[in-house]
Amino acid sequence: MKWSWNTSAGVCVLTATIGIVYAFGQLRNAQYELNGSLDRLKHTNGSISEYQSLVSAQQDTLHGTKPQQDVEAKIYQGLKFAKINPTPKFQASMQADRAYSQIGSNRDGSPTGLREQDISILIPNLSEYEIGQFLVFWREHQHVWSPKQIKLEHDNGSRSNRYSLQLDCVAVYHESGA
Amino acid sequence: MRVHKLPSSECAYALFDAPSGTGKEAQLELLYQFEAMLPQSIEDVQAVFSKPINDKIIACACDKETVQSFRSNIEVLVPDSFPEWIDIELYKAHGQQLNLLTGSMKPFSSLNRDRATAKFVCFTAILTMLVVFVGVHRRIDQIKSQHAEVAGLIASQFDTVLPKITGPNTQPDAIRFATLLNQARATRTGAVELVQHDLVKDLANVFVQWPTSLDIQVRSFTMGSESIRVDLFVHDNESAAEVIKQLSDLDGWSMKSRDMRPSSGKIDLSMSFIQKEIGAESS
Repeated sequence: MKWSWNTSAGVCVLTATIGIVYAFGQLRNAQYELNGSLDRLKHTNGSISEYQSLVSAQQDTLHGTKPQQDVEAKIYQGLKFAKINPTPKFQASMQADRAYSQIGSNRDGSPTGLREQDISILIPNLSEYEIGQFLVFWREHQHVWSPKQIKLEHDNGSRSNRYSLQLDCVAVYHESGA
Repeated sequence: MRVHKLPSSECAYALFDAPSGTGKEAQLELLYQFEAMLPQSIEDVQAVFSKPINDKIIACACDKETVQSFRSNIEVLVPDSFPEWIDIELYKAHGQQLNLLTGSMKPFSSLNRDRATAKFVCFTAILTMLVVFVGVHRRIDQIKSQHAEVAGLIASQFDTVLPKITGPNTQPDAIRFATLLNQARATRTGAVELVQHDLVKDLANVFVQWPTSLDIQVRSFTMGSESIRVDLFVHDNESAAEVIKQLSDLDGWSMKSRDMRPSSGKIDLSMSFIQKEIGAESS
């Protein structure tokens, strides 16, 4: 094909058209990204508000399916809070779990997939003050393990007034491990 | 527009039936027909054809060298007349169409004009593209800075709830937050009735009313949501009676049973209480 000025003009127009289309494509992509970011910001704001309102509410179920680990962690925190040194050798005995049902409702199965777990905690050799501090922690700083029974047993071997604290608690957790 | 009329004697003419085809095919057909009638090669002449009228086309050919000499100063070169065997009416109607300065023999002025137009079109196209590029680039920069601002806002939002963690294996904030949110959703269902009975508070209330002035050794103290059982030692019957007297007034509780017996020089006292509401219901 013979090259001419008309061909050059055609090539220029074509190149310019492609360039302009490409530039507007880039602009559109950038705008899409910005819109995506704005949507993410809106979504994040909503999620953070939801999270803040959730955390301001009391925790009512355990996270995950490891109640033993959770209760042991809580006991350590309680002993630390009560400044009990050295840390006594406590026992945390799990009982058989069962489907969760609210008081007054049918105990047969739970459509929510929640289960109840009973646990018996035994902490020996505590003074009255330490028991009080530990129970304050248990009441104020964790809400999942609800005490069903509190038992104080005098340590017969000790000359000073020291007691074993037995705390029977129940907690609700997700069957699926949510 | 400068028009020159070429003496008809310098041109060759032919009258053809309008070709059946159109476009280039028709043009070629006419050229082949015309070439057969010319005394010289078709490449050596400038041949032009009129538009069909009454299904007839007039062909006119002139030596290229002759036509070439007019290109620099003439814009339209037409034969001044037609041979007699061509209908004069046809000539009148199509004489101006037989401009020999066309195609490869275009006048230089026309070529210059075309060239200038092409240059202008090129320049305008490239300039337009550059202007659009600069504008779009600036807009993209603005958008990117807005994007960075929004990303910063999102990061600062996450900072308000996420603990500070650094390290090569730290997951992105969005994933860490999603985990935290899922955890919060799973642990704040609102479907679980938490404290059925505030035992710790009840225990504290009992101990507030405890007869601390008396020398009591508590052996065991068991508190449930509905009942309390206390086993203790006191020195003598009088102390036991005083303990029973003071604890019988426990706020919210009523004494259900008591058992007192001597044991190793002391008095072994066992008492049980039930919540007053429950006691009232059962009675």
